[in-house]
Amino acid sequence: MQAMSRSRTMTMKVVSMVLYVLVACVFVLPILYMFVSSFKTDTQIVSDMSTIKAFLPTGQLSLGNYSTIMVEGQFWRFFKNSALIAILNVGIEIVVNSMIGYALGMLAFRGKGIIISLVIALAVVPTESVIINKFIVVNSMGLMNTIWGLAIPSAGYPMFIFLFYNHFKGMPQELVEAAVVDGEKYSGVFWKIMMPLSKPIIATVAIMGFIRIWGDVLWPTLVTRDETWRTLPLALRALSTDVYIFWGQIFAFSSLMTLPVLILFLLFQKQFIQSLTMTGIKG
Amino acid sequence: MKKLLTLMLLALFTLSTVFAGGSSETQAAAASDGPVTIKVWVSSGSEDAKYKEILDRIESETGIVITDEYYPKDELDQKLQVSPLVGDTPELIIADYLMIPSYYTSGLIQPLGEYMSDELYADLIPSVQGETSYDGQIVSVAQFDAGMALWANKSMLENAGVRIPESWEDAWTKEEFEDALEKLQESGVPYPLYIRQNKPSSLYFQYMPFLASFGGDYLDEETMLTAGTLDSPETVAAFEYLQWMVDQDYINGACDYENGFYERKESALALLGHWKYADHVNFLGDDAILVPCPDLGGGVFTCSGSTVWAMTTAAADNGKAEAAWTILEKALEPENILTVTDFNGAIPSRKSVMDQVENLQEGGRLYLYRQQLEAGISVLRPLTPAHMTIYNAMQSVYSDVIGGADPYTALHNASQEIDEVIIDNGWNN
Amino acid sequence: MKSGLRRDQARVAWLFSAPALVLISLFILLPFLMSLVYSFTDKMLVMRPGRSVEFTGLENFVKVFTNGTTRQSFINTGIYAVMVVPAVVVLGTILAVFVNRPLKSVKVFRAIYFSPQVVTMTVVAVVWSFIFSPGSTGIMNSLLGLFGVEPHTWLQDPDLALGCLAVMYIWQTLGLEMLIILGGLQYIPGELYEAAMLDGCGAVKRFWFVTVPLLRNTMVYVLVSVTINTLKLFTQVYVLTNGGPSNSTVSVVYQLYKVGFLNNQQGYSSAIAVVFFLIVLAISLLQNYLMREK
Repeated sequence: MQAMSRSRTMTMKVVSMVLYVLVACVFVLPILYMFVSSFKTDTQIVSDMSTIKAFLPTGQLSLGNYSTIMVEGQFWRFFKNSALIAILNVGIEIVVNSMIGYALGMLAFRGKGIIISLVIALAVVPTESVIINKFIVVNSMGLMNTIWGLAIPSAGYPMFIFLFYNHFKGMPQELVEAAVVDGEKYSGVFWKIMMPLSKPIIATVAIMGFIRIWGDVLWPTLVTRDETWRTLPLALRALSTDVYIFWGQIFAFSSLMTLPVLILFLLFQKQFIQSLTMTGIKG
Repeated sequence: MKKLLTLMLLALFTLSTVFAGGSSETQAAAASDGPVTIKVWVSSGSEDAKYKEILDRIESETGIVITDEYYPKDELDQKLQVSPLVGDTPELIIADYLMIPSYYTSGLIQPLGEYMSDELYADLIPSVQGETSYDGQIVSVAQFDAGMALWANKSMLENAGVRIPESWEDAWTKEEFEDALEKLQESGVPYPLYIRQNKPSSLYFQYMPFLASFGGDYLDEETMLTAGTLDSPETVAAFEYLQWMVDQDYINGACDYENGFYERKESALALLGHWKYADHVNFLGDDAILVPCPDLGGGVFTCSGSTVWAMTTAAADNGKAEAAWTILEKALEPENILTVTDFNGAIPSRKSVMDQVENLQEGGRLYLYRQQLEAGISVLRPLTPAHMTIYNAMQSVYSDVIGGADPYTALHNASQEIDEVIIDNGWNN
Repeated sequence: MKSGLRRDQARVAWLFSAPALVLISLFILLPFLMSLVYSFTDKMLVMRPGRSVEFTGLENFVKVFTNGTTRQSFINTGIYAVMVVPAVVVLGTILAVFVNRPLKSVKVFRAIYFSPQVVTMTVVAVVWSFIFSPGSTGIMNSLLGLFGVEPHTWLQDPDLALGCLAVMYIWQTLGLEMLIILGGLQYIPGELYEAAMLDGCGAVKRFWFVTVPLLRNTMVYVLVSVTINTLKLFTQVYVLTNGGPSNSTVSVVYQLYKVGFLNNQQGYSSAIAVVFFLIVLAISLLQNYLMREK
């Protein structure tokens, strides 16, 4: 009896492990495919497509695609642009959205209700749908072709305000009161007490914000006016021309574009995952 | 927390120094009273490197500072359309000739009549003269014209026992063409005709000779609307024919690669233009030959098209028109024309230059292209400010028809939507 | 003392709200209000020299409902949301339950399941377009061929293209929603399960009577955020299909982009944006309301 149940738990374990791995394949194989293909020639990519070889580093592998996109494609230049824009954007995003989230979530003031309604209403406006007029506004501010024009307009983001608001609303109000009684200013409470307690939510916003701006195509198409601040997604699109589609280079480019985010994620995955699991709790 | 803040401040600081550096550079360039600077926006493609070479050469010869920037077609169009708002319109544009009417209508294009000398204009081949004029004005200059016919694999044709036409005058008739497709298929060629079905946008150009031979067209030149033309029985017949070829497996409707004709050798014919010259000759050698498009009832046709160089009104407004024209004039010098045409196999836009190209002499590999243009059997796609709208709609129609959609419905719906946009914009007046 | 503190609080609150308020007012509210105004005019993105903007009443709005492609774009976006949202919620919950175990190895799988999230949509679209290659030698066709499924042309098939775009998005976002739901699961105190077990509830009953009700807050968040993100469908269309085949993948955002930039009709494009906003707002309110009612 006991032996049977033990063997049953063993089978259960094996079965569930197989399931875990199978599901993992679904998520990993496309990414693996991208990396593997980036070392192949266009012809080989297509001829490997129909078999398991598509996911295996077989045939003649080379760094040719990589050297082409780096030398001819000026990959690093666009990479630097994208990185600077993303860092600036995410930095501002965290500061301004957390500040308003704190004010709405923990401080009492007249007009709060109106602001909250405004934020919720604006969360529903798909930013892409007003992009032409946004362009006109940004243009009239003289921000065309500047990093500010690329990084700032999307930094105030209602969804993130909402996340911070929920987060701070759920924090014990006594923390603020106690600190204020001790002579701390309301602004000081935020910087010295609240922010350190908000690392998980900051991490969440940082990742989601980074991914959001890193892949944005449409806005940079309009705002960049020469190569000064041209970003990676634009350069990636340029690889698919009317005359020829450079698959190998596209995969190499995509891989390099994904790699930094993937590395960041793997380095901090424990914190990332921990913080993301906190997101919806107080929703 | 402090650490994070410091880090952020540091990042901001680095950023600001980066900009400070960047902006002072540009200021320096603008402030100096030195040579004229001309900005060129180029619709990027496989010739980019050649344009760089040419512009570098012109720069060193004239002393004009040229900043050339390369963008994919869609991006270039978007940037250019809003450039008057931003105030950064370039002095020169190098783009598809079909884009120019739209820019002309928005007041972006400077006519070139007063600059162009009569001798130079007379030296341009007629099809190029047609492509570069709009609204009775010369709106651009072109270095070359497209060559459009069928590329064919000689051995495969011979193997299947198909007659090989020598000139456009003895092109296959409809029956002969269909017979050829059938024979090729029987001889073991999986999909006799390759039309670049994976890139429906380019079929807007490539299928034009077939469309014209059926008597169809995209736009009614009289009304400047598509109604009654894009959905005319002739046009519908041409698209039904396309679908029929797919249904017969003469064309592989589910193809997503470029090399079906020259590398995989699964097609014996390819409805592709001059730009595949290098690939075809490199892979197929002497087997790569040109045959004219078939006569499907209404005659034999080829299709013209070119990348053109246009001057903007911004150049005139900035007092840089002279310098800009100097560049255009230089671009039409034989050396610069040949730099491009030797690379892409297109036909030089000047008669005098055409004589210097061996391939285009009688017996030459590309002689058919020249013969067709000289015979005046070349058709143009519509020159209209609605080009991007039509182009996009046709891209969908082509892919839908290849995918099995009813040709009349697809064309008729497209026509209605296009006309609505044209009327709304007043592009028909 | 107390009123001084309150004043201080209000001052800081406004000061702290100001930067974000300025940003969202300038870059979301103002553009939206401009859309509202333009939607009643024949404003063109690039006005022809000599033509002026004129008030056209409800003409643009009539077009929103009568134009075939625009109407199709609303329908497509709706279908897409109906495919994506339930799939993400259900699969996300299943995955979350699946990885809700304190084992080390399971934590590794959590990270793996989340990893597509780090691939940006442009890249996801490119990679998946290759997986959905139309030829019989395409990856998906070859894979399904092993099970005897006939090859399909996927992105070139009007019946399947939108579904392909949905698959890409679900693949990318599922890991994220899984983690959020997982957070909700872990927040449920273990004693509740023990109590339910003592009452003789089986695993399924425990899930329905303990997990589901206590997960409501999390679910509201997931539901609303996924819905809003889904309705914004644009990148895949822009990068891959341009709305085809046969308009089967035209989304609202793609259509208003196309109308505005390609066809130059800014007024009409604005009208689409306004109608779209009202619909999204209504859906969000409805979802909130329905989830609160229980």
